[in-house]
Amino acid sequence: MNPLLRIEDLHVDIPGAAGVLRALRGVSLTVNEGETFALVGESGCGKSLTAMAALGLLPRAARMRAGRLALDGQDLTRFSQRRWNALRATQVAAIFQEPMTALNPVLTIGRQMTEAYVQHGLGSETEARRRASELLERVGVLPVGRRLAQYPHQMSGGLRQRVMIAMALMCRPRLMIADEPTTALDVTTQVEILRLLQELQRDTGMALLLITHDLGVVAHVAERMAVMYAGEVVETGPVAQVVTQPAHPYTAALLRCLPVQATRDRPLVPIPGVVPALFGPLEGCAFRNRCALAGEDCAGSIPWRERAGQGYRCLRDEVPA
Amino acid sequence: MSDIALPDPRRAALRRALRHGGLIAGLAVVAAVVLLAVFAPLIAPHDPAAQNLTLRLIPPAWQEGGNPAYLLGTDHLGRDYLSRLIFGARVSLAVGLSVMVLSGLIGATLGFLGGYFGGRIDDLVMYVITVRLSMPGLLVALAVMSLLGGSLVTMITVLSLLFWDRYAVVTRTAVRQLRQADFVTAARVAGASHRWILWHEVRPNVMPQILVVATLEMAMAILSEASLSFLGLGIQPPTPSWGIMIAEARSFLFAKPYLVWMPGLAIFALVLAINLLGDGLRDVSQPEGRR
Repeated sequence: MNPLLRIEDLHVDIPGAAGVLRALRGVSLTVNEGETFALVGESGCGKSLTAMAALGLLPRAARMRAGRLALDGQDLTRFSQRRWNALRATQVAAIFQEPMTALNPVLTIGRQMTEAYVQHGLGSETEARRRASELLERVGVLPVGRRLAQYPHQMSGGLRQRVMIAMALMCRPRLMIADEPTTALDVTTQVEILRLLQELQRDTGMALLLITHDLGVVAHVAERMAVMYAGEVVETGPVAQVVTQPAHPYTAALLRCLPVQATRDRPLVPIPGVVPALFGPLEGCAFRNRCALAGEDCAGSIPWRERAGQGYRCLRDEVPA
Repeated sequence: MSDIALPDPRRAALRRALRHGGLIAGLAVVAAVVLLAVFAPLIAPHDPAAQNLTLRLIPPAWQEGGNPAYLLGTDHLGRDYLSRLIFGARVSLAVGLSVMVLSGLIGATLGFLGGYFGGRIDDLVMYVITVRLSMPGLLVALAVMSLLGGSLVTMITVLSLLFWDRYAVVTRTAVRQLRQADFVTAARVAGASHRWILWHEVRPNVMPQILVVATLEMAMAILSEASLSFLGLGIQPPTPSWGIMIAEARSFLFAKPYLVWMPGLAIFALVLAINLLGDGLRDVSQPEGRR
């Protein structure tokens, strides 16, 4: 398995009126070619920010430093604006949470799909049109001919998300980043979209970086995953392993508050407390104020540990599931 | 997937336009004035500058002593009033359209830059807008025109440099909201440059708003031209302008009121029509249920 996207020791600071927000504090992860990798965590933990950093689209105020940020061996930290544009045009693509606003309301679907393709010199107008038709057919936006002439407001949320997916595939990306692609959709549509993404990933051989807070989604589609908490990766490994034998108390706690797991004898267990404020340096484990296993030693520095393909940042050896 | 026939949005907009009374009325009047101005030499029955002192102050044809050859009568120099009104439309429209386009270019460019890029660029744009807003437009125009002397080109330049503020404010606000839109981020992800996004993604979204401001500015420019010309600082005689015609007819206000109300009515009708057109365009350009 060749690593496609490599992120090592990624820090992002966002200066603001209340002080410097340390939004990402040493994030490391690797997405291999052709795999589905899930990035899991609650709102505000930095999952989307990590993806934006990988796309070179951090907010302007943000300051980034990284030990390594590389796509297929190209060092992205040294990229100029022009090279970023070229990379985004041809190698990476992304779809977002909100299909209602991710399409330009005043342009037809056909125009939005083909314009950028032609602009980047990937093919002629006719080729772009043909590719757009093929992809719409593939993702099930039918009848293609009429859909191409339609405006976004004439379609439902699920259809728009399909259009977004087709649009993202126009440039034959090697890496597709899907930032909570199903959160805004209803449950039946969610399943369809996930299945579609999975099929497309298999057919095209692209890598899929799936960002979600839904562990159910992860278990369905992803091969490997990373769990983020308060701007850090706290655990990473193969999905089957992480979900059945979590090595970090936060992962275990997340699994305990999945509604599927709850029964009459085993009720939902919410995680007590709140996420710490991310202003200024954070000493020790960020999760210790909410952790049942926390002790004095958790306030010191916590090493990154590895066990049977699973990596985690915790001092405890045994974590009750 | 559903196979329900969906209405073509362009056809729906056209249908809304045809049912919009104000839009139709405004469009009709503006179109009529434009035609009169373009074909003025063919339509006007007389030379608008030709004086005939033996035919001074003939009343309109329907009044006692009227002459059918001079449908709207003659002025104090015996010039055919109808012809002067028709040629006056040329000045009004030339100023209105030129100022609308030029000030639109200035204002919209500033608005796009400030709204899209934000930060320092936006601070600079806001500063320029504030400076502009702190100047009383018509007073500055008066001062500059009296220094430079009146001519069509000077007037268009001065008014364009003064009346771009509303474009800038409206465009900036609209673009600011769009900058955060997901489809802009999506375009960035697709590798589009800022310039491309501004032109292809953002501009089509703000055109309706700019169009509405444009009609208001055009009406404003026409009124300003009339005011400046009335004060003798705009278009210089003998070029016929509605403002000049009112100025020249001042002394006959009680004896021959039609010499004042006719050009006045022309200005009023054109400005009203342009405003109706603007309001109509705004209503029609928004899809159903988004008013």
